[in-house]
Amino acid sequence: MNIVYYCFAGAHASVVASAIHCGYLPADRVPAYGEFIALPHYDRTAPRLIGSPYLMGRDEFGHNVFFLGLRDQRLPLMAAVGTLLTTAGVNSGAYLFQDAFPLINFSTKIGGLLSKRYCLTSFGRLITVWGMQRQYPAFVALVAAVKDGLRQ
Amino acid sequence: MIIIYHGRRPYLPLLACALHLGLRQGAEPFLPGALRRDWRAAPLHIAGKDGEGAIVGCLVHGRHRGLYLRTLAGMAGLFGLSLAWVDLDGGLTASGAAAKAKIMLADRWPTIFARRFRTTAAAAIRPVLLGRPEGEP
Repeated sequence: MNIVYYCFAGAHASVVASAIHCGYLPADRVPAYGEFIALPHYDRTAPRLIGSPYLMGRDEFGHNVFFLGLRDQRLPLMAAVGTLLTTAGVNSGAYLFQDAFPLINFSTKIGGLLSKRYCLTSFGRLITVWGMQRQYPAFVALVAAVKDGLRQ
Repeated sequence: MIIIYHGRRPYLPLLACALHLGLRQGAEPFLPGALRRDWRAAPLHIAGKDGEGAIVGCLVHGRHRGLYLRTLAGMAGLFGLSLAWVDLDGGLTASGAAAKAKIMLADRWPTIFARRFRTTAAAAIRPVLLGRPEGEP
């Protein structure tokens, strides 16, 4: 099974959710700044590569976990992907798409903007992580809900 | 194999699908109906299956061409699907400024010009169709 977390840029929300899913970030505490930055793709997805799915790893069930950025086209692109997979006869049990963007807070959006658009990378990352730490329990809850769904 | 004709607006990809599937006679009812679809909600439309078993569809991506192609190509890669892309924005070989202008008008304002300039647009699209279109010798 392929599990795909998606968000706006594929650099923050989907990276963190997929990392929690794979166990690269802890589920029982809020990680420190260095733990976020140590993630291979955190705040590093190049704008010209947004749209390509990236493999984060494998979870305990053996599912492949990906993250993906879809800019502001999440709804139409998910509809297009659904049409493509249905047409190709891919079993709906072979994939799961989870939107992680609604969990992003204002700080992380501003931090991402500063980091990616205005090239204030260090300062921007600091703010994205600050926002992500405040929102972290919601990400853990999202991943827990996804995993509960997989167990059923 | 899934063949996807794609463009910024729906007219040319839809016409390419109609030509590919041999719907030249039926293109009149097919095009206006499909042009009225909500392309922003469902940008990928599967038109049918050709005689060689390939699924033929069209994708309307607006100004997000790269994003849509990367995403769908990425998903095809994840699930082992075979996709073939035909770009109808830059790939047409219309000869002459008049033909290009007609195609541009039909593409931009299909409700007004689609029927009038369909032959010109079809002549430009025909060379870029993939496989052997229905009805071709």
